[in-house]
Amino acid sequence: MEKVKDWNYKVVEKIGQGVFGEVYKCLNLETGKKVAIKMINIQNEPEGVPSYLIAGVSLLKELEHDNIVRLLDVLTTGRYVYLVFEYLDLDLGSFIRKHTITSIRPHIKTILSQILVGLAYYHSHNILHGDLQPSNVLIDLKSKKVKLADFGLTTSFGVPHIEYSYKEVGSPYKAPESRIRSSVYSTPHDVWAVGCIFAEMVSGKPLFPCGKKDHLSLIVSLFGKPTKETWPGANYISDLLHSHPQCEPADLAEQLLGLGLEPPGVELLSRMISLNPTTRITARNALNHPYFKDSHSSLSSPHYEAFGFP
Amino acid sequence: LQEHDLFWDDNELLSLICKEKKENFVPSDPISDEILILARKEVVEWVLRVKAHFGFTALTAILAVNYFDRFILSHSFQKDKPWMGQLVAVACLSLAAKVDETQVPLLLDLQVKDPKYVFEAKTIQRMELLVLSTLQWRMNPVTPISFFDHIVRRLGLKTHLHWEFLYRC
Repeated sequence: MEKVKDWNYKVVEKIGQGVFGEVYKCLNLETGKKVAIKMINIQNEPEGVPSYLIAGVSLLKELEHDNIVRLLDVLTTGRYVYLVFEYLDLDLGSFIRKHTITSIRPHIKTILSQILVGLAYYHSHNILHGDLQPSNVLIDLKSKKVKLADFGLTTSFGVPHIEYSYKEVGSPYKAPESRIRSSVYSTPHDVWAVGCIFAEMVSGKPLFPCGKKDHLSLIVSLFGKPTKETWPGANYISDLLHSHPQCEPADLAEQLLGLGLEPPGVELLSRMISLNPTTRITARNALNHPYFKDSHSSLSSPHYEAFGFP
Repeated sequence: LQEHDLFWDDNELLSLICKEKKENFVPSDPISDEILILARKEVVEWVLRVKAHFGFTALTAILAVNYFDRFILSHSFQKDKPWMGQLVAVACLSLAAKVDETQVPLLLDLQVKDPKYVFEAKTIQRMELLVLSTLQWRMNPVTPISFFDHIVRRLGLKTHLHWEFLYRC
C-alpha cells in the first residue's frame, strides 16, 4: 500500500478487508480530498487480469449517479490494481450511533429515498449491490447527499451471481433467501437490506443484530416459523428450521409505530422485508410508495429535502 | 408487445446512439501508416483464426479488434518493435474473451494458430494492464452487434436464424 505515495495519496487508515483485497481510507495530497482505495492483488494469475475485475471496473466506469460513490481512478502496478473511490466523512452507521432516534427521525425519509434512488439506478443497470449496510451508506453533510458505497469486498462488485451459502453468513443485512442453497441471489436481496437499514434508523439498533442468536433464529422470532406459503423455499431448509421452536410472530408494526414511524412507513417496511423475495417491493416501486408522498423524492424528480443536521 | 415496452426500447436505442457518439474513437484521418496497416491486417487475421479455433463469439472478435485499434491509435503503441503487434493482439483477445466468454483459455493456451511470437503469461498480463489503462478500462463499447441485438429483440425475431447469422459473422 506504500505504493500509493507515488500517486500523491497518504494512507489514513484501513477500513475494510475481504476475499478480494483490502480497503484504505486515504488523502489525496494534491486536492486534500478523502478517497477510499481498494487494493486488489493480481499476482500470479495464469489467466492474466481476472475477468471479474475487468467486468467490474468497466461497469463502474459507466455508472454515474449522484447517489453512488464515483470510481475516480484506477491505478496499476505489476502486482496490484488500486481502485480509487470518492469518500465521504460520515457513514450512516456512525450517524445512527452518534445521534438519538428522535434527532434522526426527521431525516429518515430523505436518507431512505436517496438510498432507494441509488439502488434503483444500480438495478436498472442489472447490477446488484450485494452488501448494503449502514457503513456502506455515506453521508455528505455539506451537499446533503447520501451515496452508496461498497467497501466490504464481500462480493467482487455486485455483478449478478448465484450464491451458494448454506452456512451462516456474516452480515446481519443478508436476506433470508441467501440461506437457501441454489436460490437466485438477485435484486430483492438488496431491498431486504434497505428494509433492515430503514428499521435501524427508526429504532436506533439493528433489526437483526449479530451476536448470540444466529440470523435464522432472529428471522424466525420476528416472522414466526416460515411455511411453504409465507416463504417458498422454506422447505429447502426444513432441517435447519426443524430445530427452531414454533413461535408467534413479533409485533414489529406496534413497536415501530411506538417509535414514531408513520403507518405508511410501517407498510413500506413490511413490503421491503417480505420473506418471499418474489413479492418483495422493488426499489423503484418503493420510491412511489405513499410514505414518500410528501417528500418530493421520486426517480423523475430528484429533489431532496435538505438535511438539518445538528 | 406492449406500448410501454416500445417506449423503453426507444430509450435504450437512444442511449446506445448517445454512448456510441460519446466514445467515438475513429480518427479524423484514415490510418496512412503502412507499418500499422500491415500489423493490423496480420492481427485481425490471427484473431479470427483463434476465434474459430476456440469457437468464440463474434462479439469477442469484434471487441478484440476494437481494443487493438483503440490501443494502436494511442501513444502507448511502440511500432518500432516487431513483436509488439502480436503482444498487443494476445492481450486484446484475452481481455475480449474475459469480457464476453464464459470459458476463457489460459494466457499460454490462447497463443495458438501460428502466432509469430509466443509470450510468457507475466508479460501478457503486463500488456493487459497497459491496454486496460490506455483504454481507461472502458471495455464495453457500442459495437454493430449491440444494434443488431436491439433490432432483433425489438422485432421479436429471436429464432435460430438469428444465432446462425451471429455465428457466421
